[in-house]
Amino acid sequence: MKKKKLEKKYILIIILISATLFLGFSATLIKTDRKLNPVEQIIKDTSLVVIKIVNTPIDFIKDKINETKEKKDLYKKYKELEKKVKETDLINAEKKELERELEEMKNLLDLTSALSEDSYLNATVINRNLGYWYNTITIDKGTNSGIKEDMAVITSEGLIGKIVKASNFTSTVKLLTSEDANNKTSIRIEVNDKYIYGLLTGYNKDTNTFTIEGISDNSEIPSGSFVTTTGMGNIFPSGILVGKVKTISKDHFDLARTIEIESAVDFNNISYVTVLKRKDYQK
Amino acid sequence: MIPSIIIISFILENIVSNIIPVNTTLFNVCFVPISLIIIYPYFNKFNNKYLVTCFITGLCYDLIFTSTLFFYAIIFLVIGVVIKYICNRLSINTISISILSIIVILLYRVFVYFVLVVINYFKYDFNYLLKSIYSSIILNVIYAIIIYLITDYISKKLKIQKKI
Repeated sequence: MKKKKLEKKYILIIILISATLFLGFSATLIKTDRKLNPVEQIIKDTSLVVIKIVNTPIDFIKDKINETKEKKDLYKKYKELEKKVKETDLINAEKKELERELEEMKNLLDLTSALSEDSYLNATVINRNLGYWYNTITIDKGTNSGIKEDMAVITSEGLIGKIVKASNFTSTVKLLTSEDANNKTSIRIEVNDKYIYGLLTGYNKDTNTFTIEGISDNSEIPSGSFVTTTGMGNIFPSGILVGKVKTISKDHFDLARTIEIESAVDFNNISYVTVLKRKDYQK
Repeated sequence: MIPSIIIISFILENIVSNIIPVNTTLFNVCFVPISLIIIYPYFNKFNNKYLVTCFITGLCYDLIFTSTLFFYAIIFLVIGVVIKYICNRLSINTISISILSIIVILLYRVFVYFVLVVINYFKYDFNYLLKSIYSSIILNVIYAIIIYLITDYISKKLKIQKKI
């Protein structure tokens, strides 16, 4: 009887120690920006080949369905584009002048970290949000294509996240929608001629909106104001679109404001992305 | 039979994740943990071999999908222990498979969520956890039933022995 009680005690101690070790181990694995070891890289790269083979017919069908959908309102789109083309010449002339001015100013201030300094690399998404909690996607380009950790990832609509892990032929992108406590992005709201700075603190999946809390600046922020990255933290280059201001509310103490931002990107349907390879990137 | 069930689940989880929206409210996939229920009857008396298979499946999940070395290996091992415990007390049929899938989804989501909250990966939010559970039930129970019926038919045709 006494021996059984003692055995139970030992089992309990072993379980407690194992649980503590497991939690410590998990914290190290999940929370730190660990680099993939060679074995992990080989397995990831090999699985990419299988995934690509399996995905080929499915992607073909998906593309065909999208093509059919787009063909439905082709005439309407054509008319819209025709209008835009007429405006293009004017914009191009203005752009050339602005580029020249920008180059002069950069030379004057010795700036190198603007968005225009980046080169682009297109990639296809091979899986999305597996494991549910991490809000990550995997793309089919890796270190062999020049991808490194912390590079910004965008779509044609705006910023979506950053590279967190890279093997030779695949990379994992952590989305801005991640609930991860370490995943905060510095943004600025463009109001007339000045900027109001803040941090993205949360994301609402149902409304596809981000939250910015603790804005103490009392300036009037009109709905629809553009929200872009600041370039602070040296991860995201400045000026990448995040979204537009949707609603503004005051906190419980009437001191700071909480701003809801409508995301520029539809995170539900990301199939193709672009990685910003920064020229000045040193890591 | 066992490796093919696991491989098919891995492939389908990858394919379906690419088709359904990321923020879906009803169709989140967890086919790989579900495959642990389907493979159990094929182990007959080799219970320890079953637990080793669960661990290896979890390790593959870590390596291929989440890059969290040994995290899912341990979680899948715990899920395997629970499946083994329940299956030893139940007869295996479509209804018990459906109930087991709900239990596995519940356990899988709660376990991972609490580990992530304890290590301060994100803040505790009960609604978030609840949503993750109910959004995973429909698709995965349907998958469990379909794959159970298919494998049951094949095993009868090929006369493969399994626990009833």
